[in-house]
Amino acid sequence: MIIRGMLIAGLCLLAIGATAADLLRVQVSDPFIEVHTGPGRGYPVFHVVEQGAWIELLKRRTQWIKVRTPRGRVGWVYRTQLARTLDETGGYVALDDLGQEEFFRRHGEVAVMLGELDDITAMTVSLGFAFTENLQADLYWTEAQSDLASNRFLSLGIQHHLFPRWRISPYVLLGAGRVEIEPRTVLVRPDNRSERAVHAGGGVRVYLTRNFVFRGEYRSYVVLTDSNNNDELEEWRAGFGVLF
Amino acid sequence: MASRIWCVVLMAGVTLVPAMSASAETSTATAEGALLDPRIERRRVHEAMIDSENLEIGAFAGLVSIEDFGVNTLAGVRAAFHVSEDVFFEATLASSEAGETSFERLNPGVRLLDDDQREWLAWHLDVGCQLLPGEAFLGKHRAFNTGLYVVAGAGNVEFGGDDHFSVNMGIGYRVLLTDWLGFRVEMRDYIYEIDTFGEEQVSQNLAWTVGLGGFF
Repeated sequence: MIIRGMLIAGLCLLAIGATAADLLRVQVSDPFIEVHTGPGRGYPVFHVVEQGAWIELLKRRTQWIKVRTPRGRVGWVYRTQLARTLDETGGYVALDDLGQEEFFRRHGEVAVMLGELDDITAMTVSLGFAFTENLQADLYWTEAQSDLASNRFLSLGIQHHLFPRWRISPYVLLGAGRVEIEPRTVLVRPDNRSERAVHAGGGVRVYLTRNFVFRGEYRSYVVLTDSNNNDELEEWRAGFGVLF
Repeated sequence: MASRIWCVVLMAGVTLVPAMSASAETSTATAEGALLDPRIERRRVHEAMIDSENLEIGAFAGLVSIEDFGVNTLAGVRAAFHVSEDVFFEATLASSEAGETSFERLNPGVRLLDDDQREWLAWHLDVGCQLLPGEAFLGKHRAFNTGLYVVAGAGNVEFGGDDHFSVNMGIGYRVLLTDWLGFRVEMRDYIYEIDTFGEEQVSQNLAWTVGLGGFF
């Protein structure tokens, strides 16, 4: 019992030690910084911290940082004001500004796109990983509901950026996957179909701001069926991607 | 006897004193060393070192008016990523079960859809925008951060045994109860085309929900 108590006490002490070590402190270097009641420009300034005072950084939400002032007040400070504070080494706090350069490094990307697949509205969600600045592998999930059937595509593809450093960067893509075709219930119920499909196409990635890009794509599918003729489908789509 | 004891004490003294002085010397040496080299760890602070809470995960419940199928309870989950104080992306999953049409109620025994087909399941990907941020006051000493927001997006509604491409739009009011817990009241319209009654028609399905969400 005593041992368990000591263990718990020890763990608590460790935890306290850890939080104390993790505590980030910065010193105000501007004449003053404004502390808002909430993480947004609409929230009123309720406190001001003067030059030379040390503030604790608690957490951040979007572009706002929650701080505790020397007088124990807790509020939110905008990141550009944080950039005007000094850390323990006496240097300005480094802001992590995301820019187009981030797309030249290895990164993950999530994109949502809307388009037309053979005159049917199609929605696509994709998850990608860029190995180099030129090559990116993507996993796509596309849903398209026509009057006759629900079509679902799951495909894996690779995109190659020809001029990755351009703000408007063209790419070609190639991939393969499966398509599930589920006919509508109002029709006489034929069986669901599951076919293999390959695709090729091209597109552009337009760097917008921070970690956002616009993507526009054209792709041509060949659905490999058991019958004599393969189905050919065309898709145009556009959407937005976020780097992470 | 007494002289023998004194002898032992003196011998001990002779052997211990140099040892003690030696230890005193080493401690002085360390103290001097510490004076010259304080070894205080000074940390650089990067923005990324601050714990970020931009992901919001929550649940909601309320009522949805499924066109022609009455007003039914709705429950769902949502995950949102806040990009800036104004813009967020969210994914929602909402589920309900359609009731009976007035035709079915007037004609006992008639069933237009079976139980599986009455399941109403919607998922959507939306982009949202916070408008009119502000504070609401409860009594004299309590203030809550609030905001009006609009959302719009596209997705899929599974109903009547089929999938339907759907768009949805809504408007809501959010109150932050604490820094990390938010309460929201929302009105949202799910719009899709459906042909359950033979001909294609645009179905408008209004939902009223309340929800709770935490920031992580």
